[in-house]
Amino acid sequence: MRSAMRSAGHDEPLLSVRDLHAHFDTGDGIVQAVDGVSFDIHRGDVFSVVGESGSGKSVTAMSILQLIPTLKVDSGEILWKGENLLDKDEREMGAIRGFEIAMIFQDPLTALNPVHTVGRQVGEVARIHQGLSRKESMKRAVEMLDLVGIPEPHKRAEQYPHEFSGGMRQRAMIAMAVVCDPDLLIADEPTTALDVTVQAQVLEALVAIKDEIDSAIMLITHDLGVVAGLSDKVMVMYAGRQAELGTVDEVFYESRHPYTLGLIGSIPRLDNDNDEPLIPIPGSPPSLINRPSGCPFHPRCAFREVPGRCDTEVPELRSTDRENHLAACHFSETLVDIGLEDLRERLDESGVVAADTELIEVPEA
Amino acid sequence: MSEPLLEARNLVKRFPIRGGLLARTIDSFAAVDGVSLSVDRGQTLGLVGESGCGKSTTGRMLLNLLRPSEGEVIFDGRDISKLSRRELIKVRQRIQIVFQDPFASLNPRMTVGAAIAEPLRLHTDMSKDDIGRRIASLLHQVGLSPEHANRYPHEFSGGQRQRVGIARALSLEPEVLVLDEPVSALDVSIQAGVVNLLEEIQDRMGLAYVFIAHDLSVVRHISDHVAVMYLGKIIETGTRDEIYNAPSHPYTQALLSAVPLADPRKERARTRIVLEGDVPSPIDPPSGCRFRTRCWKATEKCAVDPPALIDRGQGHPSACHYAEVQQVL
Repeated sequence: MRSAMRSAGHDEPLLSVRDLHAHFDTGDGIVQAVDGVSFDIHRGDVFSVVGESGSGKSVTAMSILQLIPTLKVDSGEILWKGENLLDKDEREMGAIRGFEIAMIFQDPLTALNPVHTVGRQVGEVARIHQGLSRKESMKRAVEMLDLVGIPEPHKRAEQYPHEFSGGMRQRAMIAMAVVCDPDLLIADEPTTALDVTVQAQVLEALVAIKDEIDSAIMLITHDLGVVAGLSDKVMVMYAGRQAELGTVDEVFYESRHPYTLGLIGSIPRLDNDNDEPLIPIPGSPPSLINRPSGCPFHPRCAFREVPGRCDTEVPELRSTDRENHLAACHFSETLVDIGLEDLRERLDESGVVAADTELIEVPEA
Repeated sequence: MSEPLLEARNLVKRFPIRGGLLARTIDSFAAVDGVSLSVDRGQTLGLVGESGCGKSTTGRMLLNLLRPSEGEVIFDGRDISKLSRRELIKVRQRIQIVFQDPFASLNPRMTVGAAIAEPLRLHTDMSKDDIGRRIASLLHQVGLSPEHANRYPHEFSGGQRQRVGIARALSLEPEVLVLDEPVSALDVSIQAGVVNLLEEIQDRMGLAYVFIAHDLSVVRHISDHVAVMYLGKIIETGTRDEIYNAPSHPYTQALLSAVPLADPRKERARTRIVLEGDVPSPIDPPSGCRFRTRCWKATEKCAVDPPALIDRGQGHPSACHYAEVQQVL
């Protein structure tokens, strides 16, 4: 039925976020956690959001479901099937959360209630949203546990979270998220806490279930390997802003933002044994309270023009040599045909401080 | 061939299992069960495995931070696991450890300079001025600036704290550094800088590293030799290229195959070995080969006969009755 709906719905995105700005008001000042972010997610897509700690990737996702009470949205729209979620009241949002948009968190042990059985918790969503009885919802929970590849689901449903291993708990979380056949699954670092062999199992289960229920996945992660393997589209975030947005191949093979190139240069590769030193990004991410002028990445950038546009003018996210491949860099054109070795040379020549010597600004007591 | 700088022979570490009303020891289990390894001057041994495999416990036994239940650790011709406290203090100057979370190992009330000075004050008779100069030079070596000596740990970012941890470990000019997940808490762009720093220091000072990590990519980048652990045992060991280009143990193959590559085209073309189930509890490990419960090659022989870590013709030691080289990358 859903596939029919999809063909009828053409290219309408499921979720369309338009120029979203959001902040936290902390004792130390305003933290502009999301600063003008726009993107679309279509049914069937795996849309990945990559960035380092503090880049705003999780906050962007959380703002969709309005899960952080202290996060204040300043402006922008979050269009879900054409309706702005920011206009919805708490009751209306309650009907969307878990039912149409579901979330999978990094740490299943804190997200699961230790005093209820796993089956009861997985089934609870169906009880609340679909009005199933306790017995029916338990039956549904067992089906879901089976679907995510938990062996002996009948027995497992009667057990408590502490009786599950880490990988099994994360599967239970996925089961809980998909009970109501949501249209969008938001997975925030779903495998970061897991060992690599278990990660492979969980990711496989996640993608299989996406196809099974014909939904979309918004995957938030810092792991470029996970992104490369699963994604259709990738959004790279830095300091609360989008650095780059494109298909997975565009972002990995034709990076048009120096930060993306920097991330790729930083990671050691499992599949080659060249002994060249890694190419770290100089310095450290900026404070979101006191962000750099102009492009937030310019203090660490090998391609910057300073003084010049980079430290005065905030670059807009705009089309590169391809219309749908977007980058927020004044000089994204100059990155055409720039490879990692060029980046290494540029960094050596550019005089960008190689060492990470700037201390965290500590507010005066 | 000369003696290795540091060598562990058949290390076993048993931990007690307590139970009952008085929390009496009712049983014990081996977190590390017969591990042998060695590392030479100027070389890096990567020790990899998933959580609970015993890699950190092994690392701690190398410095005698944990006393082995059995086996010996030979450093400079002596078994340091049997040394008296006084003798051990001398040896500890020459083998140092860097932990994953430098914030947890730095005293928040002590300036970074004081933290680095502590080993110098305790182990040497350097004057205050000399210590000051040494701190400045150490901070410079790890890419920080000498003025940072007067600052407190909370003023440093994660990557900088790890640099402080490294400076402190280097203060007594050790010969061996045990690095226990030194970069796994750091963001990738920061991690790369610390990895490069470790390599530079090794080149300059000829240190031996035991690099303990779960991240197989970092281990490939930094190591000369690699040992793969599973449930308290080394299941395969060899040069870096042998392990990564010619893995012969099914677990090593599955582990390498499970790591996603940051290369979309390669990822799409790849077939992955996905293991069933989880790592069994070390309290009650499977009989015979410990990996057999997740292994697609397992036979009846595997349940009764624990495979020895030997070369069965594949060119390097592998603890599998059916060891066979298979490229997975």
